[in-house]
Amino acid sequence: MKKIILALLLMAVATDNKASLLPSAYSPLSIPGDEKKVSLSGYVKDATTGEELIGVSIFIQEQETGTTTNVYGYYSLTLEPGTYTVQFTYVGYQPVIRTIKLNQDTKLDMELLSEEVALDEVVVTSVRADRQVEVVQMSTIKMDISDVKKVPQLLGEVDLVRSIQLLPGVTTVGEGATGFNVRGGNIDENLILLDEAPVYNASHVLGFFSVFNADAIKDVQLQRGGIPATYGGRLSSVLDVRQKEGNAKRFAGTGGIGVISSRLMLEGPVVKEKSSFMVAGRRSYADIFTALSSDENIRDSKAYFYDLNAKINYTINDNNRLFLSGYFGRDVMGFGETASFDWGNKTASLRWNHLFGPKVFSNVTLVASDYDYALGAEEQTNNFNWKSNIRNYNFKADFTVYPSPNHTIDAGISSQYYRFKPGNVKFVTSTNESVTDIEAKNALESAAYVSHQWDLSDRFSLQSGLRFSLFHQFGQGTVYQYLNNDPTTGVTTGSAFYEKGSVIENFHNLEPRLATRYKLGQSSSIKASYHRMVQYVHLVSNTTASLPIDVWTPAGQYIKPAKADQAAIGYFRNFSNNVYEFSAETYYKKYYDLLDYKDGAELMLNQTLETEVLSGEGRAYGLELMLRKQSGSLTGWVSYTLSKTERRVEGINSGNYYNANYDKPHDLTIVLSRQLNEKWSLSGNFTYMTGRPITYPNARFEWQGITAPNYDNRNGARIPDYHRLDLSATYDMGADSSRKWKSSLTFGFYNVYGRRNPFSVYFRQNEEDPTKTEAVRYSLLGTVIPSITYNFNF
Amino acid sequence: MKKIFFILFTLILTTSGCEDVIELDVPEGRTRLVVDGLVADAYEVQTVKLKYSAPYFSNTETPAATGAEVIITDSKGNEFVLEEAEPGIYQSAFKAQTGTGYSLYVKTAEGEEFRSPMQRMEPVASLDTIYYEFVEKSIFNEEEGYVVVIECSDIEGVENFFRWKYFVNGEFQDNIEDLAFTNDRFVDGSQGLTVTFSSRMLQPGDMAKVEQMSVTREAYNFMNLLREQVYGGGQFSTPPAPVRGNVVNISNQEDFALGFFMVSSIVSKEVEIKPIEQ
Repeated sequence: MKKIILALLLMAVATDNKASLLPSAYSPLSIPGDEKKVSLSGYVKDATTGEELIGVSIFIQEQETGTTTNVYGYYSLTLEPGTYTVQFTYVGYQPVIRTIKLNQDTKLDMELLSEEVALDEVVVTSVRADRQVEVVQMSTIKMDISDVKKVPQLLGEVDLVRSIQLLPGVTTVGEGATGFNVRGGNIDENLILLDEAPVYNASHVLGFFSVFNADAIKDVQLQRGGIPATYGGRLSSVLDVRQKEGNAKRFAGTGGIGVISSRLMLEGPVVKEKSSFMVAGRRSYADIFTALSSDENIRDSKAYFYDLNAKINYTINDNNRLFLSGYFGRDVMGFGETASFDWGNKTASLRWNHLFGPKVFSNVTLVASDYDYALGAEEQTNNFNWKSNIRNYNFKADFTVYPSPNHTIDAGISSQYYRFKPGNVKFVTSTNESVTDIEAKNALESAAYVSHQWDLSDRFSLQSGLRFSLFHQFGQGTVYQYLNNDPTTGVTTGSAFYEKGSVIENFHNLEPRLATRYKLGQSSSIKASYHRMVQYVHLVSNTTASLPIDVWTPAGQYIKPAKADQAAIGYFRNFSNNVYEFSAETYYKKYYDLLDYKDGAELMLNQTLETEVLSGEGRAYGLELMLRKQSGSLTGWVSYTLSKTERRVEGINSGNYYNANYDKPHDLTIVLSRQLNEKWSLSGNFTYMTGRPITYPNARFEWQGITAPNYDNRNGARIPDYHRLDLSATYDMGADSSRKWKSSLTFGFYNVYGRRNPFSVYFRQNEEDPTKTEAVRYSLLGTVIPSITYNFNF
Repeated sequence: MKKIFFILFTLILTTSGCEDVIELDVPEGRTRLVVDGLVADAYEVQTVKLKYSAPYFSNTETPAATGAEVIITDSKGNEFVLEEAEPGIYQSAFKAQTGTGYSLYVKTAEGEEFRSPMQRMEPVASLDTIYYEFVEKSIFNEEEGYVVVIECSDIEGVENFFRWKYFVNGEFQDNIEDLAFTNDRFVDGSQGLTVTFSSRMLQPGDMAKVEQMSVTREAYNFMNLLREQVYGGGQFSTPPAPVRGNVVNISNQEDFALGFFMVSSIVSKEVEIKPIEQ
């Protein structure tokens, strides 16, 4: 393993010195006669903004071969010298066809014109089948931020996570709950990356909105299966969110005024052709209205959130580019002097793209991120203050080598340091002060990977990868010993103290990854994939919806790393000149060593968390169908998922399999958007889902005057089905006389027919007659919610 | 602490959340024995109440478990047989002491035998003062009136679990909001800890009494679980679970009675509400 990486690194360095004649022993993939070949490489950008475009297809007609741009907009192809017809195609952009005479290494940067900008419609025929049929990756959905903006949104607030929940294989425990569940995975099993920096809590207002300001975002990709070896550390998905680089051509801005918040994004060149910036801010203003209330208590209450995104890039020269990006966001809630609660993420990432010649692309990333919350309360003379945070420093080096059009090799190393500080609580009364300090936990997660994509023939491609992950939990810290070595007894028999830096526990795992694609024809393919993922850090939460105060904990002496194996196969077909995309995927997933909790577990501020934790396994399987139309005046998709997600934990439900909280067997989504004329466009989406599982009481009993339900069968029944229709209409007010300022108004209706979809059903004593019990439906958004948003750009 | 979350979360959720009562068919579970027993040093007569559970929507009082054989044994080897004073209510007059352990044995009329483990009566922390405060009408208080406050101290260096029983004009306040208990995790050895009883607004002339109890960790866990089940179901609820107490079927450890047999030392204080000059 190490040898392979060493070889790749050597190769990378060697290529830089133009000495591509590596000893063949080090380069099993070098092709005879390689030295005669020349490369075609460059960046593909948007012609109006200068933004790099991710995933653009570059196709060489004569060779029937091609590649796509990487996440930095870079591509590289190695070919025999000759004359070639090169096609650049990208959804939503006008294709470009160029004839290139290639007799030496050639750099070809390309700028594509967005269809929205292009005035006259150009009908292009015989463009090859696009991405979804062509690429080896399956279970991957890329969403352009303009697609996200078309979806009708709650209160007009464009929201990435809510839009992702409309995709096949993605569910949630209920609207307004934090996070999303992918193919039976818990919310902490998604690796959420914002410019490669991990985000621990991606929600505002306890889950109603996500932290991503759509104006600052370029593109989003969700991978839910066949995850390549590049990624690791989470079991179920990778949500890769890329912020805009900033307009490199001119100063520009985008913004909006909505019901919930207002936002502004500014971008522009710093140094022409060298550097550009992007800065965006957003703030909600519910507190401005509460301040006008006549009730003192409401007037004193606070509830708002804000975020700030900033990014700057600098092109040093053709081979070196730097990106510095940051995110800072916070939620603040308070209630006069009595209570306050705030939480937020801070991330900063510095990236360095370096080309070791045209065939080797490298990226080095340094990330610092911090998630923290504080909770305070004052009641008479008692005063309470609680602080908690997770700090994370991350180093990553990724290399992509393009030795020939048929081979692409990715390799890299990464290491990240975590410091989890579950809580420091200060409790002050009139006479004394006590401090409870839960020990911080330190961990280091390291990985090395290599991934090889090999186009064996025109039809058959294979991507095989291996990731080696290594995890250390280290001191300082205290580890407790338990009776019979079983923490669930709760009886400690002793403890061991580990010095700063000494290893408490370590784990290592090999994670194989495999993906293949076989093309059936020009416009259809079948794909299969397998991956093993390992997760070393867990979100500790036993509530239906996760709370911002939920803590993360690393694997250690008692809590094992969780593992998941997933196999998937799929059929992909494009129709009518790639206007329609159809996909059908089926998967089976098996989970090992998942965390679960004892009944009535105390998870908050618990030094000995392991005493409350149980370990279980899970399985999930399903079929996902999707038909998508990405161009023309009508766009959108229809998706249907049939799935099952189950858990089995000793000590819960008599040790039998039971439905996971977010198991929703049927999930139908229709998202459509239509441009009616130059002024008006309409969007609508409809969602239907099976109600989530719930445990119903099967008896009641009375104890000291309190009537309580008794539950025996975990998640044995379901709440009523969920369905909802949202509509929105956008009126384009066009440009003003200077033709610079363009604006539009969006009118939205969320939950058009006002269905009272239950978030849950619960049971209580009747207020008048406590001997009577009743079932109560609890809906969060039980009526139609209208909204109006004013958007502008210049 | 839970109260703080509750206030904060309801604050934003009430803006859009709504509730209504719906009809539901719920499968019937099996009938279980329900135990409500307490041995306390402050009482002359010790009482154990036995009932049965009922189908969830049966909307009648749950039936009393009559004709059972009920025995409390202590760690000194004494046995006290409890007599059925009223249907399902079993009593015996004996004095209990701190430092002594007590265990409950029940044989139901159907012949099933249950037992609780021996629990030691722990000393109770001091209940220093009781007083009351006037509360104005606001969004939290539909009516104005007086609330009762106690101040107590924690015993330093040991893990203590508190429970308070609240009585108004001699009547035990048995709403779920009145189920007051805590541990000393954040306040070990503290003095001047205040607890406010605000489940109902008192008026001048009312008599308020608070009993402070020293319960066991198991009893604390039980009340915690009970409260979660009663309140359950919201957006941030924990998974519903059987409210398993400490009374277990002798012949089958997997089978258990609902409810709890508690052992506690008790101190109490009383106060009469008199108008405070505004």
